[in-house]
Amino acid sequence: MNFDEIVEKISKIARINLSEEEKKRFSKEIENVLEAFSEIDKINANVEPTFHPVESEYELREDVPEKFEIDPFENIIKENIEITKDGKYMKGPKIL
Amino acid sequence: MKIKEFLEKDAKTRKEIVEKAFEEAEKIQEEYSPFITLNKFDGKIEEGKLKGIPVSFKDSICTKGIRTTAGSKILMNYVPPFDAHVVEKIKENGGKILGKTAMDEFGFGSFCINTFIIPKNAYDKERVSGGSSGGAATLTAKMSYPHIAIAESTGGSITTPASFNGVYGLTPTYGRVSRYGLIDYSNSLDKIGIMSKEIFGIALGLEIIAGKDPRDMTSANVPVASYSKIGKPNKKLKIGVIKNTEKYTRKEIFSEMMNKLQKNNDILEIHDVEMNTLDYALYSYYIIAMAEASTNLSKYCGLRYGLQKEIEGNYNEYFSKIRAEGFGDEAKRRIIIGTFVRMAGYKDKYYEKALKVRTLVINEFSEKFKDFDLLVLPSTPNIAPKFKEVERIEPIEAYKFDILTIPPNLAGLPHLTIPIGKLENMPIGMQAIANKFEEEKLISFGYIFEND
Repeated sequence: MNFDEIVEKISKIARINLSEEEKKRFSKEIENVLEAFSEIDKINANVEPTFHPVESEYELREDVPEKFEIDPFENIIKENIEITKDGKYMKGPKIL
Repeated sequence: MKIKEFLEKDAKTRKEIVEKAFEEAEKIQEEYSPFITLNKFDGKIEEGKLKGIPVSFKDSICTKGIRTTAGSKILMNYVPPFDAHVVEKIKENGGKILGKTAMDEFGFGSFCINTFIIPKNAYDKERVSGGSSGGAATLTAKMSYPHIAIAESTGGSITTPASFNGVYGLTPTYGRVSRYGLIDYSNSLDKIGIMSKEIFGIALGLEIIAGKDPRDMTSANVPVASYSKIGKPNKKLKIGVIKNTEKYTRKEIFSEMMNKLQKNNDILEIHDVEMNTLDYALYSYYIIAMAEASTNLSKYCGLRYGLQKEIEGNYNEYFSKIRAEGFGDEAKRRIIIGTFVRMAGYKDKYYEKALKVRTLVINEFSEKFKDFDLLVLPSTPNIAPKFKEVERIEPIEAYKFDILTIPPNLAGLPHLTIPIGKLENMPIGMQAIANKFEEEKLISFGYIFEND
């Protein structure tokens, strides 16, 4: 396995820019980590996979509207979003 | 001051004590940095089970109006507009939010050094507090006034720091406590739990935060016991000591644990057991945790939460830039490995195999609990390391430090770490594991060693 190429490829898939120094360092470290992970090859696991450690039942609820208790204009949300001067609108970040 | 003593005081006296507790927290912050954000006391003392007891929350637990960063630069200015389920419960019971405790970024670490505020060990400032709930543990150890810490464990983030700082730490069964409002690391492994200087604090805290919550599908519909009314066990407990953990542990720690158990052989029937899946559990855990973390972290892209900048280039270029800036080293490493183990061509070898190994670990525990009430092993392989010993540690070596805390976490089983003494003036601990939803046994087991 060429770890430099793998790290390069994943940085694109996972949308993280990596510096040349990071690429070099991570590929070496990850090689060691994956080598250790291969330890699980040694155990025979002819069983079903477990996605959740404790079984949970899927429960359905009635589809009734509930009161949304968060007042979007309450002071705290100002920390995240700007409110226009007239206090009527919230200004989100520009995304286009 | 003991929690029970505090609860018996009148409201006026309690208010004075709570004021002093908030002042004490500020002083501890100056010296040990256990907090990312300190809160102010609003001067109000309500009734309920806590009657004003200051409660700290790990910074991955959302608190309405109080900054919640999960130890990450990418959430540096995030102020949640809602409370997590556990915060609601604590408030309903008259608990006061003392502050938000320091943690490894998103919980990624065993030493609480992968973040921007690094707490110091309560017993030696040159040593780590332990991760990832390091701030919670240092604070719990240093507070002389009543205090309960709400922390979280994915693979050992309660046991390790609690043990390094000589306090009790309970990681409940997966699903015992709602995760609603917890900034997730790994959904099938995250468990909110409690640290306290007293077993009673652990029991009281669990009684308040446990239970079904419709907002978390995985929270269990299992009745919540009156944990705070439990005392020492009223019948002999059958204990299995996981003997093959000895080779991973400093011999003084293992022998002190055996001493402590033997001293109580009037109430404990002690046997040796072997855990065949111990070595494999570690790698299974890291594969699953990283796979889940890498998908969870995709929501931090510079649009929906936290860090935002002027958009330059196309979306993908923007996301890649923001994520490079906002995530720390360990987060990047886990995203890369977590993405890799899920990739076509490697998924069978790593991710799917890891899920099967988890089944083996769970099966082995289930078999053991047919014969034993509790399984016991040391909490950590060694005392808290010095900062200089871990600052350049290879990632795989850091992961291996979790060998003892991984098995119960991977299996979703409740476990309690108990301080059992000192080695080189540093606290050491042992942990007990119970079958699922048998937290009561852990609490009564804990009482055996309190004041011992």
